[in-house]
Amino acid sequence: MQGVAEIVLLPLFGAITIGMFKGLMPKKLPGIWASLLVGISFLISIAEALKLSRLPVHHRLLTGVVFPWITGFGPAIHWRYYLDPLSGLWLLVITGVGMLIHVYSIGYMHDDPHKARYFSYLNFFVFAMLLLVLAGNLLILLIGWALVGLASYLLIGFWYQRPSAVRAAKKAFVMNTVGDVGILLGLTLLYLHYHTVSYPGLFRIFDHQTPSAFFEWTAFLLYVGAMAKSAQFPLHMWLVDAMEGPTPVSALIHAATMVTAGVYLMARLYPLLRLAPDVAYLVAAIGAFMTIFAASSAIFQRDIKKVLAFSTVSQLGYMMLGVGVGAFSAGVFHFMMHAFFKALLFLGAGSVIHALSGEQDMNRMGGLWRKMPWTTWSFLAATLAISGIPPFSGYFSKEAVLGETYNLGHPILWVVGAVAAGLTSFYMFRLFFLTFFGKPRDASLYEHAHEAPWIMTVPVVILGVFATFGGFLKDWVNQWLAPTFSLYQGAPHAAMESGPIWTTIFTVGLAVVAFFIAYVLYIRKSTATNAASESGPGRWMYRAWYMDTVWTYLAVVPFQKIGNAVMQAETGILATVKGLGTVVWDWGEDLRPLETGYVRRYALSMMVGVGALLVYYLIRV
Amino acid sequence: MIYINWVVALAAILFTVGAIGVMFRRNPLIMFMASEMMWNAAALVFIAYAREFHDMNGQVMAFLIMGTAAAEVGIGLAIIVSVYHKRHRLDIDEISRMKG
Amino acid sequence: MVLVWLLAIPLIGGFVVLFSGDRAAKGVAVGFGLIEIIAFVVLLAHGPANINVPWIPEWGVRFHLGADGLSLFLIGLTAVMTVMALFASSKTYRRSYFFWILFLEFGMAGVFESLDLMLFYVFWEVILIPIFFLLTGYSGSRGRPAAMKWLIMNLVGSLFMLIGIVAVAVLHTQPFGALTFEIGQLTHVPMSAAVAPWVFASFFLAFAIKAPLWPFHGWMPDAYSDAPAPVTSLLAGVMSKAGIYGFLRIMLPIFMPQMRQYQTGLLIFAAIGLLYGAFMALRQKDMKMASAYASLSHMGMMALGVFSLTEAGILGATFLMVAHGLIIGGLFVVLGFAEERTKTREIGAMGGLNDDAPRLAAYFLFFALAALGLPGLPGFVGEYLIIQGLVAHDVVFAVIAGIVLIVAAWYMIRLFQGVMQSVRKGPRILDLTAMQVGYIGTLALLVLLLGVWPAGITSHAAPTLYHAVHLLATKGGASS
Repeated sequence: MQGVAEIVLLPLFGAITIGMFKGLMPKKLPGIWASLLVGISFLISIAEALKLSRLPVHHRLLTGVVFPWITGFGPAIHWRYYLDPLSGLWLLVITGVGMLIHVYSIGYMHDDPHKARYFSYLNFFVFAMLLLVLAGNLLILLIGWALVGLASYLLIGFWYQRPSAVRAAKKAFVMNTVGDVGILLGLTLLYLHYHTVSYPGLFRIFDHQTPSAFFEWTAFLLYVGAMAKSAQFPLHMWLVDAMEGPTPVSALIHAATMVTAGVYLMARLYPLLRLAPDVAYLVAAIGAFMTIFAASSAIFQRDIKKVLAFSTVSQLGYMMLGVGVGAFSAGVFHFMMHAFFKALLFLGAGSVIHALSGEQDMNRMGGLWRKMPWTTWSFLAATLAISGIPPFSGYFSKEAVLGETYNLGHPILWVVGAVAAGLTSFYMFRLFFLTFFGKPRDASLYEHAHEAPWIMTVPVVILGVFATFGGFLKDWVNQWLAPTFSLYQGAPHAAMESGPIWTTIFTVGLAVVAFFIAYVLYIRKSTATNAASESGPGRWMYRAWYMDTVWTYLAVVPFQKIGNAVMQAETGILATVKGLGTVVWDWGEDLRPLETGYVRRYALSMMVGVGALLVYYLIRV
Repeated sequence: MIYINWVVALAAILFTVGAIGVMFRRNPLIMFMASEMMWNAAALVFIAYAREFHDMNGQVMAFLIMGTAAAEVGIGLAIIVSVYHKRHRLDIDEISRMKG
Repeated sequence: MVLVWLLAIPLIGGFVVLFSGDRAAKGVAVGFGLIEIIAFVVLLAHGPANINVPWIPEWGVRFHLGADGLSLFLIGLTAVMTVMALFASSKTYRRSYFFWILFLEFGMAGVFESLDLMLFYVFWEVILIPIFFLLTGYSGSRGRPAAMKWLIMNLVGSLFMLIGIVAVAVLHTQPFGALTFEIGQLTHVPMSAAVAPWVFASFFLAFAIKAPLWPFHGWMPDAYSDAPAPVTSLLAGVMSKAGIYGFLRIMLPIFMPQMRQYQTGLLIFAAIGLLYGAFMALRQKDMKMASAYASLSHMGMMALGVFSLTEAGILGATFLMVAHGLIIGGLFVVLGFAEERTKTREIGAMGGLNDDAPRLAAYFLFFALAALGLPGLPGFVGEYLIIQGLVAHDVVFAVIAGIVLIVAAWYMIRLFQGVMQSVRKGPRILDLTAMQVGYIGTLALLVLLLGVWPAGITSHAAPTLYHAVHLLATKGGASS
């Protein structure tokens, strides 16, 4: 409890202090302060993980309640924390990578006048994300879930003077709310049936259940939440637009940590997924579809961050594929490796953008390796990793996911994933060659380019080391996660085996071939960046299969139409109120002449009234 | 011996005179007197019947009427005087601004 | 005794304000508002309280005040939001303004404390007067028509309610003899099928107009948008809760069989209001109008919770009443700050206020997020409980409520971005003063506390409510 509370609350403390006292702080302090707090949080996380590892294998679980959140209708729901190897792994990645990105941000946001606000948001994000993974029941998870969405909203819209950033932020928030509502409905169903939403309680119950339609519905609703957060079809377009935020934000939130929350949720609820085989297959199928769908959209992008955004969506597909087919450890391992190399890719891209004073269009880059050696070689390591070239980290994790997919009897999903791996290699090397090799396409930008300051390169290089050698953590991660995934529903699958050797050769071969195609096209022939994206299928791919347009016509336009209809109805209601008033008013107007103001007339009418009463009583008697 | 019918008849005449006075005179003071006359007609009937039936309630009502009439006169005269101060004329038809 | 003081303090305060100077009026009023809060804290410390003395013995009318789990926090809401409104009011207003605000507090506290129908009715009518004068005297160009609409629609409603009250009491004499207006004793009134719908409708109309629920909200748009922001915050934050409170306090105990009988219809009616308000809010160009319709939508949400007739739903409605009161009240106060600085309410004419007024933007965002039901803030707690109740009763309505949560996120973010973000359109403005931060920040902390620890309220409110639900379950079981 003690350590857990500090891990979560330190970044919150940072966010509050920076938010309240940013006016009093010296210009450089917020960045250092924020990084320091996340760093301490990281150290405590390591201590907690060590504490966890000293526990006997089948009791590697720290959980408890802090105080009641709500009581009064059925069993109380508490603020409960839950630290097991799975959340421990996320904890280490969030605080570790988070700290590196905080440090990097000190350099990246150096000239921004609002950097104090930036760091307070960033610390708030780390707090919310830690709350999400340390939550011990679905309700507290949902609170963290929504707060990371809020942090993401704030940071996407950080440069709120840009209309495009404002639009993107709004889109991200609303789409994430769709997910929140999904989780809310899902957990409500669970609470109504089992009177608990805490993980230990639910898992104990799930142990004795058999698959049923109820579990399919519940799992589906929770998956909607994961879908929104982890940018799965059809709720994925917000992630691409989210690149409007500062680049370190894209690295931390929209690549390494927040968007993997959906993977976390699905892995966390693996007993539920086993009770809902159809939804589990859906998770895997959409994951596989996403790998190739997003990869195809990435191929012809011109904006360096958009390529990386689509590649994030694609890699999230791999994680979901792993979790969906039941290779939970493989999916989680891919998350970890992805956190390293994708954070690195974004930070590298950030350094490039920083060096080119904000330019993101690859049309105007090229040849930067001479100017930025550290960035280039780190970036290359990450590119090799994401392309799945052995022995870089991505090779191990992707192989684990694809191999398990094949082993567990999903050859079609395996084919899709393997082809997508080839596409990944192609578009990543396209990006790499266009950015760092070839001739500089914009001389003036190239002239002013420079290597990033050390405060930015150091985190990049550290991540580079992990992206290169991280794959060798595979066995360790497998052992580490085993207690989590074997605690309920018997022993886990041998979670991270490669497929038959020919599958590995096929995947790696595709990646190598794609590398050569990219090499030929963009180094030898210097094909223009926007070639083939002007017409035909290329344009469809460039526009990400027009998903934005589809959304506009399926959701935005109908909502606006309903809004218009409601406006009409409202006019009717207000007119009715006014009309009733008018009717009464008109009666009054008609009766007005009766009141003459002459006292004699009133006296007369009184007499007439008395006379009438008299006559009435006389007749009655 | 005075028959009760005579008294009631007198009251009826008084009441009628008063009512006609209220309705046809334009001077508020005269109207006031006329309305007092109507009050008194009612009071007379009360007293007459109280005597007839040996019931004190009628007497009480008569006193109530006298008290009310006195209060009314106090307020009414004050209003009339203040109107006269303002307009220097007393014609009830001219004070007809409170119409619909 | 503290219950009587809760009524007396604002009343005395009102008259003291009336006899103090115009310049001192605000200070004096705030002072009495704070004393009222102290009185509430005393009440909170003492727990449930009750005062029951005869008032008009011939008719069986009793002066019966009580504070239980249902009303306790609404009384607190009244005290807190009145102080917020007083703080947020301009010093330049005449003393009569402050008198009417305190008088309004008196009426609202009375409504929430009364346990006797006649007494309830008296306070119900008392509320009309101060709001009428606040609307006519201190609002914009549409204030007078708004005041007339307010007065007439609500008078119609309460007239029917009076008939209903008398009818219920008379029906009660038939088997039980004595005339009584005590809510607690009227729960066993037998009603024949011919009479029941009419009596039910007479109460329902009064509460639906006051809340307001769709389609009885004709008075709302003008009143909410044209009244000064502090008055709007009281209207939307506290006064509107009287309607929902009426459902919970009076209709549930007395009309449970009828509630069950018409339940589907009532749910549909509330759901329409919920969607209607949300879509209206999405299309508004005036920021106060947008918030007004958002409030209409939230009222539909509370009504859904009540009409779900489940423990969770009713508890959620109770919680949401308090939470929504603080949130929407705070939001209107913040909108008032923005309006005061920019001299406009058009979303299109603002934008980029965050540049000059980051503190204002921060509080705006906070209350907007709370209003859209962000998990972690109290609006979510209420909505969660209500959705829980709806899922238990009929999942279709839960899905509708879920869709509305998405639309709510959309309209609130649209409002926030339209006013605070994007490109600046107007002249430079000043940020919040330290004083303003002081009181709106306190309110924000209170909201945050309720979001993190809703058990503080629900654990108190639940026993009272379950008594009611249990009562009704036995009664409803007989009829269905």
